[in-house]
Amino acid sequence: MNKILLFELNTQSLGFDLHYVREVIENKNIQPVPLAPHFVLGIVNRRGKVFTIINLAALLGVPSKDLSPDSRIVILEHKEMDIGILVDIINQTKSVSLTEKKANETHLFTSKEKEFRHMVLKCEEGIHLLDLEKFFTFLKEGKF
Amino acid sequence: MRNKLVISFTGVILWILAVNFLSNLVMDSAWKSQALSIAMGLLVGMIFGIYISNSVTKNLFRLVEATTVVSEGDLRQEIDVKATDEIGKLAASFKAMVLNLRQIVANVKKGSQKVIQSSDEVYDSIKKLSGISEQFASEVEKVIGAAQKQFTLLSQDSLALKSISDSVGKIATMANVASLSASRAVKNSYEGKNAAESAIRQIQGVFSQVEKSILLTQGLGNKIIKMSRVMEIITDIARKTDMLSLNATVEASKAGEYGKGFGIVAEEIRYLTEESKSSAKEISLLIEEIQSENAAVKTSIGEGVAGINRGRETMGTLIKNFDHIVDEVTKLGGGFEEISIETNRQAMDSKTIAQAFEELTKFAEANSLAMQKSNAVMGEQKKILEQTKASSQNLMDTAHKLNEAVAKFKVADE
Repeated sequence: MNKILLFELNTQSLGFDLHYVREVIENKNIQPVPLAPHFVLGIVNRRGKVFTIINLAALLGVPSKDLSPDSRIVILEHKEMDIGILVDIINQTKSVSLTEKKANETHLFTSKEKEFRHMVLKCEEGIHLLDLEKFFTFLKEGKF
Repeated sequence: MRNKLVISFTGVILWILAVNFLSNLVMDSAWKSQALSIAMGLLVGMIFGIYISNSVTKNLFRLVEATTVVSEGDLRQEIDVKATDEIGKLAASFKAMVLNLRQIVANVKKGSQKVIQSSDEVYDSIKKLSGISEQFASEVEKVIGAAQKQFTLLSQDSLALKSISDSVGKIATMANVASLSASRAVKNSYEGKNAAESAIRQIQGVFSQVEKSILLTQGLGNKIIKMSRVMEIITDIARKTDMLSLNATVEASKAGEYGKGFGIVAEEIRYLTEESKSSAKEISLLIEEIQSENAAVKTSIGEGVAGINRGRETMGTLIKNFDHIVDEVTKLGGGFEEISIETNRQAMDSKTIAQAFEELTKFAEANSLAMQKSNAVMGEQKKILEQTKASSQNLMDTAHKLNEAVAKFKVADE
């Protein structure tokens, strides 16, 4: 059993493995970064630490929604690499059992990056869980 | 005459005797003397007879002549017969008769002249009278026509006057009604004025109430603004709490088995925050609604105040107008009362006049009838006058005839 954090990206319900989640912060004080990739919104200073904020919708090819007071930044951590993901609404936390890699068949997104077209792990109860290992690998490889 | 005749006869006889004697003497023959004496006797007798008859017939002729003249009407004849015989007596009595006759005829002549004169005068007078009476009759005819016309006119006038009197009566009634209405209008306008004044008082009360409610609304608006600020704080706290509980859940999940209980608590806290968040959202919405409604109330109150101000001004002018109306209607009522009094008087007068005219019409009718009667009388009078005229003409004719008859008698050289 894995615990996941459910959220929405422009009406598309998605989930993060709670194992990767460090905290959730408000969508505030994002400092834009010049010449950054198109999916990078900017940086945020949080308790002396600087996080890069990624527009996941832009990355996945989901139409962006206007910012609202419900928008949150989910800070994810993975092997000394912390990044912030902007999501529209945080819904809840839930315990689900993973059915690994079987979601590869699905083509939820129309991303320019081919990797992201198969970034979803399909879980039980119809929840689309994002494959964060793949995500971080993509970021570390810097193929953008 | 007899004496004459006796004397002359005696003389004749004597003469015959004398001749006879003489002849007897002279004559030789008895025959011859006889013849001479007869011849002589015849001669003397003839002379004597002629003389005697002459003396008698002469007077008689004169008398006859005079009577013939008298018989022709000439009474101027002086009969001069100096005989003492019967013829003389006859002549004397004839003379006396002629004298008497002359006197009588003269008197008759004078009288007949007078009669002619008088009858002429009478005839003239009657003629004049007839003319005058004809004139009078025509005048009377005219008067009758005029009287009849007057009667018709008067009847028409009387009818017209009656209708006028009726109309004036109606006008008087109407004026009375109008006067009553005017007094009622005065009363009503007074009531209207009072009503308007009380309405203004009530409106002023309403106005102060509205002012109070404006103040209250303004206070409510300020409080709502404060409330919405508080709600913002609450919403912020709820959001923060939500995030805090979320992070607590994350932390609890990371703590593994030990964090399980805390995780449940954190989850519960998160549910509560969700609820408080939605409640705060509802409240915020309500506050927003209240604010917008309050604003609407404020604008409508502003409009109401403006309307009330206008209403106040209108009421002021209304009261002024009512004052004017009261004045005017009071004047009007006075006027109507005067009119009513006057028309009543007029109605009475016109009624009296109409009655007088009716009587006058009756009089005119009676007058006309009397005129007609008098015309009839005039006709009779005319007839009588005609008769009188005829009689006077007869009289005149008779007088003229008399005069003509008397004129045959000549009594003096005229």
